[in-house]
Amino acid sequence: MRLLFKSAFALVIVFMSFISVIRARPYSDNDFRSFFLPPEDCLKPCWQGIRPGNTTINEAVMILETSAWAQNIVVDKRKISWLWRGNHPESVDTDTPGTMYISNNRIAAIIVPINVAFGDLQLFFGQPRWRSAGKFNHNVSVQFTYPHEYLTLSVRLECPMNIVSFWNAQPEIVINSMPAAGMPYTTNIEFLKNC
Amino acid sequence: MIAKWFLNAILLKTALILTVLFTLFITLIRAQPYENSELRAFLIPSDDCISPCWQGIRPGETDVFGVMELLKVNKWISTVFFENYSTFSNGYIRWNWSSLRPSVVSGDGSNNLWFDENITQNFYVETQIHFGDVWLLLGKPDWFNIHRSYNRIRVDGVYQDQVLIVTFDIPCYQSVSRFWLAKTDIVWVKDLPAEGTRSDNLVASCR
Repeated sequence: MRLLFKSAFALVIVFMSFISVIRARPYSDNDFRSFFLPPEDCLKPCWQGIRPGNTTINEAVMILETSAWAQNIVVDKRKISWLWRGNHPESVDTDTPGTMYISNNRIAAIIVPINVAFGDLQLFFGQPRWRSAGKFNHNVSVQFTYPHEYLTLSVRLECPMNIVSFWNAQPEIVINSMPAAGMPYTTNIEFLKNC
Repeated sequence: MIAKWFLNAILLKTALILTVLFTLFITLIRAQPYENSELRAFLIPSDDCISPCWQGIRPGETDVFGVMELLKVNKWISTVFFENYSTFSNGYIRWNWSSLRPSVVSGDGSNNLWFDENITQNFYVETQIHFGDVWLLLGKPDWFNIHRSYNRIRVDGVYQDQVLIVTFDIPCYQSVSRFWLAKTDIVWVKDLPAEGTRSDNLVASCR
């Protein structure tokens, strides 16, 4: 009996130490926060001074050209795209070009490729107000929408899929000119059953 | 003895007069025609369109080309916008309401339809419809999904037959009438969300 108590006590201490070490690690999202969230003097929607619905193509190109993180800027009829260089946060997926869609000579939406997991983004932005999900062939498509931030997180995953792979998936961030809606968000992720 | 009889007679007469008076009031109130034809036309699909359906658009079935055609000829709608700003084949269709819109939507009320792989998945319309009026027309929702955050409550009322969700958000600790008068957003969906509570004691959810 005494041995049991001793073992239990030792295990409690060990697990407590593990949890303390895990919890004690500093969680810094400063890089992500300063890169993705609008500065105080730029009204939402705003990313790096570019405001979907307001900023013209020329203004957006100028911001990209003077930035420390964009290169090889290409403008076509439908969109502006660029490759990444130098000064960008680690959370940017540098293998994928950034994209801004154009409508009526203005920026309509911005897509920033990131390598941040869905779960971390939900921790950062909180629970979305809306979500949409659909199944197509062997894929599940999921969108979480934050109307106050003008943001949509969008991901497409291959079936079969479990809840861990869903939260670890890396969505794209779309910054829209207008807030969007979908189905009311529920914490019950029943759409994974579609797989 | 006579005094007691007299008092009883007066009491009875007063009670009778009050009863007749209140019956008249209630009859008058109840006799007023409940005019909900506009709400009915907005929420309930025509006989030739099976639910979920709004103005001929069916989530899970109508493709974006069909949606654009239906919205462009709809007298309630003035302009339609197509937004396909994604690396996936999905996006939004939005519209501006025309001056001929029903009074249950305001001119600047937001709306959007979400499509994926060119098929309508769900669509959302911000309305001026009171939750109480939806209840009167469609009955009690089949279930509720309740979300409490800080001192607010978000209620999603799910109608299984109509395959739609009525959603609204109000502060807690208000009178019950606030629930009935809450302005709702309506979402027509392809698949219903998971079943929540069937209890309609929404005020208790705030406690």
